[in-house]
Amino acid sequence: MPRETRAKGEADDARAAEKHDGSEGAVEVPTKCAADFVFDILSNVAEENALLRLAMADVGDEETRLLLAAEKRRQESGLACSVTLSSSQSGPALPGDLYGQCVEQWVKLATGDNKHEAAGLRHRIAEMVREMEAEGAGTKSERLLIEQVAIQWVQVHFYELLQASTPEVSAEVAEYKSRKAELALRKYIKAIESLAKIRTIPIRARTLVMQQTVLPSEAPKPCIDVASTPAGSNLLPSPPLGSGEGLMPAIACIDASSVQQSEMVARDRGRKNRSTRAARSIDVGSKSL
Amino acid sequence: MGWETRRNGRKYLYRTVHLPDGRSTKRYLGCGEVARQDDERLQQQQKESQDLQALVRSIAEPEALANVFQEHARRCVLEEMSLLGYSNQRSRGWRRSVKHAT
Repeated sequence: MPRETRAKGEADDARAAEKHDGSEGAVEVPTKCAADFVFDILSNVAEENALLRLAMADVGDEETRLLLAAEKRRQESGLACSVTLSSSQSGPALPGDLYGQCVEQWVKLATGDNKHEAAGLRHRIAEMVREMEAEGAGTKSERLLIEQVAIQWVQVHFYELLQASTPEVSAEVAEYKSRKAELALRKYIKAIESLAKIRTIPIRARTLVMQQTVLPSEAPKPCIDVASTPAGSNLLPSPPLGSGEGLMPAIACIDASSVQQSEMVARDRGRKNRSTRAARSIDVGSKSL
Repeated sequence: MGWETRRNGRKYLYRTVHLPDGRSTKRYLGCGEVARQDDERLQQQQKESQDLQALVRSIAEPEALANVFQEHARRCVLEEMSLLGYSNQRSRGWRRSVKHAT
């Protein structure tokens, strides 16, 4: 073999070996570190007899493998807690999920590339939302306000971290950060106040009525005798007599009557506005004359 | 920064200033040790300004999303509460409307 070819072959072999070693090292070392990290968390949580839920938002195959390795070690050591690979708690934000996207972006801002910290923060947000939901009546508006509180909390967290992490040289930057932190805190407090105000309103009874309401698909369909009903009549079929039946038609009647009432009120208001405007124009006309 | 070397070998500090009519001109800042200190100060200011701009840019999108969500939540709550017969006039707090109370 010529010297040049041999040298080239040796160089290729050395490069391949280096690459092989490098790739193995690159996989093994962080695997061990991350598995130890998760294992430490599990051990600490096991002492408190709590359930650890790790948010798996943007966790890839590598992280899943790490968590599974940690879980295996936990099972071997006989710890009492478990890793929950749940994507329902705080999964990747779906398109159209404004809350999820918002939280994701703020979490990414606050934690940077640190996935463990991001997972912890997501877990904390999910826990906070769950606690707040458990206290409330579970209406849609409450849910929205709870999500808003969570978003504002992440913002406050981010700005406080920002203020604490980088000591400022310039007064301008420091002022900007403190102003943003103050604004975020004010918005957070306002969101909490809104939630508290909403909860003071007695809509619990309404919620219970809505929960007890039989769904239209489940409700027994009332029989309509076409022959007995006069042609062209717009009468709603009367609900069958009995306790708890026909709640949906009753609500439909209430809604219809409330719509009629609101239409009447709007008409009255329009009439009143028109008459006020006419009176004003008469006044103006008389003054000008 | 804007150091200019003359024929005599000395360096003079200038700064480019953009005028409101679109033209740009140079402003003389000095030479020697004082100019060097000014140069350092200006560089520091420029760096801080760039950092601030980067921070503002990074925050802009999440802030916009949060504002959209806040507005959405505000409108939804307003609609639901008004349907329930409550109003929050001048942000005094939710109160039952007169027509619903009677």
